[in-house]
Amino acid sequence: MTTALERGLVVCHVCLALNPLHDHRCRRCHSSLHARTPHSIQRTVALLITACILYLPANLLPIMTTTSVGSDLDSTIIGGVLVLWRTGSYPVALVILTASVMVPVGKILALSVLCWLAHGHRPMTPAQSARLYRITDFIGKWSMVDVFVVAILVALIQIGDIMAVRPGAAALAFAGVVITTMFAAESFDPRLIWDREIARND
Amino acid sequence: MPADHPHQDRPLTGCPECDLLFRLPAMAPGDTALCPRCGYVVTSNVRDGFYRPLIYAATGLMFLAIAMAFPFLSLRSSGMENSMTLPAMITSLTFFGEDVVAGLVLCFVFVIPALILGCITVLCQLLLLERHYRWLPLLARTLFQLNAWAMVEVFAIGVIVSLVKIMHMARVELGMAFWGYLAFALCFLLAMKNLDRLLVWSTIDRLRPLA
Repeated sequence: MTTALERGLVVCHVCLALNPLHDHRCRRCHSSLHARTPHSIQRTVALLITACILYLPANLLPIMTTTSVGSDLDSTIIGGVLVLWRTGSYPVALVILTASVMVPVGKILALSVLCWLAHGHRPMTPAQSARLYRITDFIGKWSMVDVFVVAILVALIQIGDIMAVRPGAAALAFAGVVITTMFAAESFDPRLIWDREIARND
Repeated sequence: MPADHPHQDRPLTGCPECDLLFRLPAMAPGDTALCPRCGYVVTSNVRDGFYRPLIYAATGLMFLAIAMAFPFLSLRSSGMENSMTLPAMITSLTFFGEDVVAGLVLCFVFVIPALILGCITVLCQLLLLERHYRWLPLLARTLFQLNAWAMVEVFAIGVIVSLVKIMHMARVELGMAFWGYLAFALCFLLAMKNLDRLLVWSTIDRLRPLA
C-alpha cells in the first residue's frame, strides 16, 4: 500500500487528479491543494468549542413563541419534543429529538473523539474511525430540520388574533450550531487517521 | 497530459479520504468504485453518461419554478384562512427581524440547490456537445463543492414535521407548490446520484485544447 504523499503526490479533494506535492492549485480543477489540511485538528477543535457555546442559547432560549388569544407561549427545542410526545405524535417527536438533540451532540462528540484519535490514541481501528467520520459528515445537515420547521410555521400560522407564531432567538443560535459543526467536519482531515496506521506499521 | 477514460483505461488515482494510491478497476455501467482501504465512494459508472443528470436537472428547475409561484400550504381555522407561498416564508422571517435565518434558509433550500442544478444543466449540455470553455472546470468545481450545503431533502422532512405539528389544531391544505417542491427535491437527488464525477473531469480534460 502506497500513499500519494509517499510518492510525492497530492490527491485533489474535488476532482481526484494527482498533482505534484508542492503545487498550490489543482492542474485540472484549480481547487486549492493541501497534502494534509493545515492545522486541521486545531481548526476542528476551535469550531467544536464554538458549537458547544452556541448550543447553550440554542437550547435555553425559545425557538418560537406562539401567541394564542392574547397569551404568549414560548417553546424551546426540548419543550417542543415533549409536547409532541404528550400529544401522541411519537414518530415526529423522535425525528425532532434525533435531528435536534442527538445529531448535534453526537456530532460534537464524534469529532472530538476523532481529533483525539488522530493524536495517536488507539482504541479504534482506522477503518472504524473512517466509518465514524463518514457518518458524522453525512448526518451534519439533518439538524437543520428544526430551523426549517420554525420557518414554515412562522409563515403559515398567522391567523389574526386567534393564533400567531413568532421565531425565537434560539433559531439563529441553532443554525449556528449546525453550520459550525459542518465546518468542523470539513476542516477535519481524515487522512490523519490513516497516517498513524502507517507510522505504526513502519 | 492525455485524458484516460475512467472506466476503460484504469487510470491511477488517489483516495481523498485516506490518501491511498490505486488503479481504478474496469467498470461496467452500474458499477460503483470504492477505495480498497477505507471504502470511500470514488465514483459510479452511470448508464447513459450525461443524459440522465441533464434531464433530471432541467426537470428539477422547472419544478422549482412551480414551487416558487404557487401556494405552498394553506391553513383554515375558525373560519379564517391563511395561505403561504415559499417566497413568503422568507419574507415573514425578515418581517420578524430574523434576517440571518431568512438568508440561511434561502441559501440552503433554494439558491444553492438551484445553482447546482443550473451548473449540471449547462455542464452536461456542453459536455454532450463536446464543447470546451475556459470556465467549464469552475462550473464543475462549484457544483461539487456546493453539494454539501444543499438541504432539499432536509427541508422536505421539515415540511412533513410541520404538517404533523399543526394537523391537530387546524385544517391544512397542500398547495401545488408543495408537490412542486417534493418533485424538485427528488429531481435534485437523482441528478446528483446519476452524475459520474470522474467521467465529468476526464471529459473536461479530453476536451481541453492542448496548450
